[in-house]
Amino acid sequence: MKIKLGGYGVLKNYVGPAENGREIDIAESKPIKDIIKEMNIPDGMVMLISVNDEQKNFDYLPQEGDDIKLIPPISGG
Amino acid sequence: MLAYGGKILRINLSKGKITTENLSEDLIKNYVGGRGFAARLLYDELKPGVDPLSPDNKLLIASGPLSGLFVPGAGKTTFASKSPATGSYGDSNVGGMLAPEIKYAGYDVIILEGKAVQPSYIYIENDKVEIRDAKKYWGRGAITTEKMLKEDLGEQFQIATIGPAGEKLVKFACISHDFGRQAGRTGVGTVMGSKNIKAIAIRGTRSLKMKDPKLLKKLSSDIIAIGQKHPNTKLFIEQGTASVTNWSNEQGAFPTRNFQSGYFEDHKKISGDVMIKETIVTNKACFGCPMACGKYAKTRKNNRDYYVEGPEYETAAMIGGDCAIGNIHDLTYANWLCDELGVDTISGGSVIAFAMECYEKGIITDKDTGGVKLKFGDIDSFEKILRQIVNREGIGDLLAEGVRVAAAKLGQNSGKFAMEVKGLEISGYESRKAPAMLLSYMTCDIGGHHNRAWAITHDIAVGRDKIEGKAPKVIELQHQRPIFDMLGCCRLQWVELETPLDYYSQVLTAATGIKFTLDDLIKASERVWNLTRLFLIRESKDFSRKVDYPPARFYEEKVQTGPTKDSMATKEQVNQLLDEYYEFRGWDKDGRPKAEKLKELGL
Repeated sequence: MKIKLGGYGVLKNYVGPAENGREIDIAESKPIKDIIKEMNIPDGMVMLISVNDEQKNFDYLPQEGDDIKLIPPISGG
Repeated sequence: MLAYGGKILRINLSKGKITTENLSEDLIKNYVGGRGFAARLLYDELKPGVDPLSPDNKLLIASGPLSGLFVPGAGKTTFASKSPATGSYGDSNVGGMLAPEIKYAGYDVIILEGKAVQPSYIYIENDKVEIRDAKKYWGRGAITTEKMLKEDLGEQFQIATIGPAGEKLVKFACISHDFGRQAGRTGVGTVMGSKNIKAIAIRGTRSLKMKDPKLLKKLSSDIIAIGQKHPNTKLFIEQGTASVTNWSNEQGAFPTRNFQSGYFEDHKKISGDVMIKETIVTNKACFGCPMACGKYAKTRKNNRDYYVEGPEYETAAMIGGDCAIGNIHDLTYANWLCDELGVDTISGGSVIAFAMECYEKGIITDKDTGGVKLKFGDIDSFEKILRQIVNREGIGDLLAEGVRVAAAKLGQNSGKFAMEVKGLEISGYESRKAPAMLLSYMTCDIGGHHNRAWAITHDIAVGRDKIEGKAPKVIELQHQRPIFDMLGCCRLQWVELETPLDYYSQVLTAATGIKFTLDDLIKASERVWNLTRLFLIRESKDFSRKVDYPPARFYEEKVQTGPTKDSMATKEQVNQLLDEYYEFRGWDKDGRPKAEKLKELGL
């Protein structure tokens, strides 16, 4: 199953830029939190997940062709 | 002098004398504007050792070269003085519409010096500058006063005002503007109150000339376009800074019950998504902002509606978590109380959280509070103690001095949990498992404040237990982020929406016709950082690295609950962080800039 994955801010260093998400092949659907872990992104670096421009939670199971963008925390005030 | 107002307006309140001076090219090239101008002018003009609340102190209101131009978020104003909280250089920044109006009136900086003989306000309409009687407004709330002045003078006037806290010289009084934005930190409102100045009302009708308006418009349009594509624009429009509340708790970084913990069990009741459902009425933007991160909210209490901008993340952290107020309507009401009374929600929240812990431990008793049962999570006792502080009644008179002074008087080891650095209460991030963030608080030039170097994501990226290697990132941020306080422009388009930083040197060059590179701006920012350090050294008796130590709670006591439970820094780690920081800064082992560093910076 192929999905597109990219990140904003510091997350570009782990998965490349969101505006040009890289295609990855996953053998089976698994929660997005597991994919984040496999990408060696430290816990806490992802604040929000956008899938096809809709916010999803960390347990979301990606579907074929999803465009997934990872968003780091904002700096709050 | 393109893009700048070109003049400093000096108002001697004791003599009633009003003069103007031309800006010097040296000041522009080396200090850019805003915080840079304020730091240089205060260092040069204040005699060492002046009492911050005496007529000898000065209050500076500074715009930046981008303020009022066609640049996203170019509405930032710096208020600066010798701080009554720290006894050293202090500044605080506010969004809204004030700085553009200062520029349109023909000025870059307004200096208030001396002391008015009676409660007064400053009236500025271009060249017409007057010190006017303010008896009608004295004693009124800050939001109320702004409304009255707008009704009396006209909607076009931009207003900065203090509330009763500033009048009563509460050490953490803020200056309010635009119905809900504050220059909250370092007691700038206290200094304004000490000068008998209730408000500043300003109206300017001049235009600003630029070197290359077409290029500036193109660059600014690019900045807007970059931001519009970024998902954080939507996030900020929906929730503002409160969108980080849940994440902060998940990281165990949310100050709770006077920093005893980093996780607030009721945080989901005060987060940004709850605000959307419960309190937000509309969005509110500063000058030239396409993002409108201000959340104008309404709550109802005792059959009355209360309108307030917020709570911002910092208010949610310092009143919500730190005082354990876990209800969005109570928190919104507490935010309104602080805004109307003219109290910084960060220091105000910290002071009351400190008092709540003292009450819990029996250090403060019913006798001190006048019978108020001061408990974490209780909005009624929060309000009663806040009013005692503002009226300087009972224990409130001591608490009005801030946690450092209060702990010194109360004793019983309460200094350990007086959560301040250099006398300024620490803002909203629990940092025992975030050494870069801890170092950021320790070394911030105005005291315990987060916004010079928000470094917690660096801790997460490279390892939260790692000490070595944190200082260079903190220093890099301490130079980058304050550039925006010099430009008079909001940093969110850069830090949250990923506009490349070098856009701003290009914008500045297009506006002023003076060639500024990004390196020039970073060097100017480092110059200001070292200058404010010299200010601190000049004002300190027995100066040593101890000025940079965090409160003992951070290195003597473990976090009690949540994801960072049982974490703690050690004294050795604190010193290790400082050793590395001083070395990278070119400072000696006590934290004094070395001669070669000062020479390199032209200081």
